[in-house]
Order: sequence, then structure tokens, then C-alpha cells
Amino acid sequence: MKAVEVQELPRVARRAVLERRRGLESIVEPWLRLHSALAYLFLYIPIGVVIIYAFNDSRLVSVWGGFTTHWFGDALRDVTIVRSLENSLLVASMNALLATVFGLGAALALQRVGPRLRLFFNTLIYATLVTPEVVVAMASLIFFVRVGVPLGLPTIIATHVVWNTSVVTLLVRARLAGMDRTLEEASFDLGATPWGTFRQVTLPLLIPAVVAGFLVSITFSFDDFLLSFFVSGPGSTTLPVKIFSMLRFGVSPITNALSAMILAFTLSVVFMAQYLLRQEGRGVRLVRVR
Amino acid sequence: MPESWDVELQGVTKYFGSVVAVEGLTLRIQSGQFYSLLGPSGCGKTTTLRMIAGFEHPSQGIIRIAGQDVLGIPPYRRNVNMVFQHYALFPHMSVEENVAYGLKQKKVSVPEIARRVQQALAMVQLTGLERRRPHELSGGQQQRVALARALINRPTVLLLDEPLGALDQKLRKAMQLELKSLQRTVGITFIYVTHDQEEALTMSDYIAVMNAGRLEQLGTAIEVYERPRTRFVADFIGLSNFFRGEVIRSEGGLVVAVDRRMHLALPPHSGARPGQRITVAVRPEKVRLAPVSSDAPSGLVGRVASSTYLGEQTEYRVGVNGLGTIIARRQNSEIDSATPRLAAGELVQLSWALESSLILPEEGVASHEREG
Repeated sequence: MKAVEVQELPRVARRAVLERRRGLESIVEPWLRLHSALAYLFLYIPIGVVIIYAFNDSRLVSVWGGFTTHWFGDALRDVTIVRSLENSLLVASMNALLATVFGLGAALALQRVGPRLRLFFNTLIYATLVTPEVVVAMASLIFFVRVGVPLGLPTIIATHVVWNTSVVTLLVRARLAGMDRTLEEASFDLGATPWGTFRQVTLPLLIPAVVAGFLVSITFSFDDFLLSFFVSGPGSTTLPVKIFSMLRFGVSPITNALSAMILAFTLSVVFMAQYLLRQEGRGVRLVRVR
Repeated sequence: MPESWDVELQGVTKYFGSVVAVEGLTLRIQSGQFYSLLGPSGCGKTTTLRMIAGFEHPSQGIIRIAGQDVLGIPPYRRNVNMVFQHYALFPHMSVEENVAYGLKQKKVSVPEIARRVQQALAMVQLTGLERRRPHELSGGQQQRVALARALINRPTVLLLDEPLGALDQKLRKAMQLELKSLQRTVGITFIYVTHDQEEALTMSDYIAVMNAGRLEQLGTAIEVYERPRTRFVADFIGLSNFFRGEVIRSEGGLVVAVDRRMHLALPPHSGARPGQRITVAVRPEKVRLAPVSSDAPSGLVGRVASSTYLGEQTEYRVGVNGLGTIIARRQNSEIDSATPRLAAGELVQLSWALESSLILPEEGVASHEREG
């Protein structure tokens, strides 16, 4: 055998291995594609149907009677629906505000405490997130009744805040972990007080995570049903709870329209949060420091 | 007090838990000096710098800046500024805002800030890059921004924590010279932390060599290189051949008996006493090599084990019976027909001037004496 061919051998062998692998892929890949396509269809077809039928010009939910937008108008003319929408917006914004403040504070504090205390609080945070929502809802209801707090918007907000504070804490801590700690030292070194450093360096660098946490909290709260259902009182019906009570009298095109609106609102907020989280590390300024 | 110091450390000790980072460190740094803290990583040099800046608090001892005890004074009230190892530029601010940051904290008027920022940027040759963000700058430019940001505050002392570590070799050389000339221009005291002995030698007026939290030697570049006082210094700064042995008397004066086989003559006034165990250090570039000419060579004779071409120099490893390997370096510019390049396997005669022998105390004895 000639020397040249001997040198060629490894490359030939490598190509053979690659080809075999490619052969395997060509069999498996179409099945994988089909599988994921079916999974997505299963998830999204019902939502698609709800949205399409929100524009259905027919009282019967199952019969297509042409395109219309009047269900949206009908929904927004119903006083009880509008009140529940107002309730939902109030709960969502108050919850997001409080959860963001508490979560930011918790994340900053956890950075400075000893390892034991940190472990303890980490456990608490994760426990909140993995506890089934229905358990939290039950526990909150029992707690409020026992303590004698009247059920209403404040109790809904409080229950949401407990959950979302954990979410915000995790988001901000992730951002903090990726932050160069010497930046704060540099700020001290240049004469900035601890408050000045927080205002001019720490907060601006954390802002993407803080805003994202705020938006995620809004979407959570806005379409939450379980917690709100358990701890709501008279006059504190939120939109998801309202839709549920309407469904008991049958699916009406109005509920479809409301669902479509909730979806649009939630999606736009989620996209905003995603966009902000993607800005992390790019050094983008979201607030002007003066 | 007859003299005033910009920075004074007195018996400073720092523990992290049970680990001693700095032990009994006493330094006096005069105004306007380029002062280097040199040592391997973990020797406590960065901790020392951070204590001066106020990020760490000494467990014991006193630190004075411009005569004032700074115990309990937070970093933001100390008139020192630091250039961090990775610059720590604020990523969400422009070059201009980064440099202005210190003056803004002091509530200096806006036009005054603008004027001084321009001045500072001109000083480090960054005019025109005001609006750039740090991530849009090269490593060398970021380095300059960090310098401008610190110097604009006119600190009593500028602390530099291995600021050239992240730059490539060529840029590092250029920045060394620039830093040195910048320091002369502004006249501010620089305390420069580095593990790079060459960097310390080129730039410093004064070098404090540290090892394991302690001060090993204090002196000018020439002093620590030419007259190292401990084996550690002789080994860490530059390269040395070491010979351990006992001082004995012989007809020509004092000699060192190395392994009872070889006698090395000692320079006059070495301060060594008969019976003392010492280490003799000789720099490779002080060792002269000559081809063995006579049939019965006298003195140190060895066989060239290897030669390594280093560009400007050639390094020879010469095996000598009873002494092990001796490293010698020869300038390549000296090679000509009279003194040809040596080949491996060749027999050579080794010699060096008496005053090239550096007398160092035996390590164990040295620390014993220090404690006593």
C-alpha cells in the first residue's frame, strides 16, 4: 500500500462514521418533526379556536356565521365585566408593584447574608414556587378566615404578592450573580455613598431584571384564577373568576372575546419581558441617570 | 515628625477566618513615589492594597493616609483612588460619564466637570471617544479610561491592582512606559501591585517584595535585583543558581564548602562567619563560560547539557560534578569567532566575579532570627 493512502485512512474513517450518523438522523428526524408538530397543535388549537370564534357572528358557539367584532363591544358594555376587568388591572398592578419592591429588596439582602441564612431563604423561595397553587390558595383562605381579615381585593393582592415576590427575587438574583461586584467597589472608591452607589450603579444594572419581574408579575396576576377564586370576597371578582362564573351558564361568544383580550394583553406583556431580559449584559440603558 | 508619608502601614495584619493574608506589615510610602508591591499570587499584596482603599479592614495595626489614621473611614471618604484589575468601568455609562463619576459625587459644578473631563481624556489620549461605551473600546483604551477616571479626582495616592494583566505583551510594554511617564507628570504617589517582576523592575522607584503575607525585602529595583537579601527574593526576581554550604576558613580567606566537595570563594566583607550555614546565589548572566583549553583545567569544570536559544541570549545548562546543574546566560551579541557558540557535550570552565556571589542566610535560620 502506498504511503499516501495510509495517510488518507483516518479521514476516510471519519467520513464513514459521519455518514452513518447522518443516515440514522435521516430516519429519526422526520418522526421527531411530526411529533413536535402534533404536540404544538394539541397545545394551541384550542386557543386558536377560542380566538377565531370570538369573531363569530352567531349566538351558537359551534356554528360559523360570518365575521364580526361586536362581541368585544358587548363585553365592554357589560358593567359587571368592566368592573371585574378594573379589579383585575388593579390587582395586577398593585401586585406587580409590591412584589417588585419586596423581591428586589430580598435579592439584594440575600447577597449580603451568611450562607446558612441564604440557604434557608432560598428554600423558602423555591418552596413557594413548587407548592401546588391550590394548596397555597387553601392555606391563604384558612389563614385569612382565622385571623379575621375580610376577603376582598386586599386579600387577593396579598396572596399574589407572596407568589410573585419569589419570582422577582429569582430573576433579580440571576442578574446580580452575573454582575461584576467590583463595579460597586469602584463606585465607593470614586466617592459615592452606599445610597448613591445603589442609585447610580446597582439599580441601573439590575433594571432589566426588575422590569421583567414587574411584567411577569402582571401577567401572572392578571390571568390567575385559583388564588383569586379562593380568597375573593363580594365585589372583588377578577376577570378570570368572572369568566368562570359566566361559563356556568354556557359558553357564550362574549367569553371567547374576553379570553382573546386576556390572551392579547398577556402575550404583549410577556413579549415585553422577554425583550428586556434579552437586553441583559448588553449594557443598554433603560433609565437615564442624572 | 521629621518626615511625612503619603501612606504609612504599621504592623498591619489581616486574617480571613484563620488564614493569615498579611502579617505584621510595615511600609512607609513617600510622596510622589512609584511604589510596587511585588510577589506571587496569594502573597497578600492585593489585600494590602484593598486595606489602603478601605475595602478590607486590618485585623491589627494602623494605616495612615497623609498622616491621618483611616481606621473606620469608609472607602468613599478616603482620598485614594483605585484602578481595578479588570478596570470595573460602568457598562451603562459612556466614557465621559465614567470619567466624570468621581467629580459628580463631590458635587463639582457641571462646566467645571466638563472642563476637567476633557483635560483627563486628553492626558490619556482618548479625546474624541467621549460618547463611546466601555464595551466599544479596546483593552488598552479601557485601561486608559480607568486611569482617567481615577486620576481626575486628584487623589493623594493612586492604587493600581495589576492593571496591565489583561493586555497583550506588546501593549503591556507600551503601557508600562506610559504609566511611568504619566506618574512623573502628575506627581501623584502610585502604589502598584504586580506579580510580574520585570514590570516592577522597569517602573518602580521602590519595590516591596512580599511572600506569604510578609515583607521580604524593600528597596530600589537595583537593590532587590543586585542585592537580594533572602533566597526567596533571589529566586522570585530574576533567576539564580543556589549553592548551600558551610563557611570555613582556608588559606585564601573564607570559603563555602558545598557538600564537602567544592569550595566556593566568598567576596571580601561578606559578613559571613566561620561555621555559619549560608546559601550563595549567582545570577545566570554573571556566570562566564570558556571552552577548556589546558589539559588539566582548574576551578569549576562542567559539561554543557543543553543550550537554549532565547533571542537576545542563549541559556546553557551545565552539569557540574558535585554541584548539579548550573544555569548560565550569554548575550548572543557577544558571540564571535573568538567566543563561539557552545555545543552540548562540550567541556567548559565556569567562573564568575567574586562580587557576583550573593550571600543569603539559610532559610530556616533566617526566620528563626526574625522571630528572636
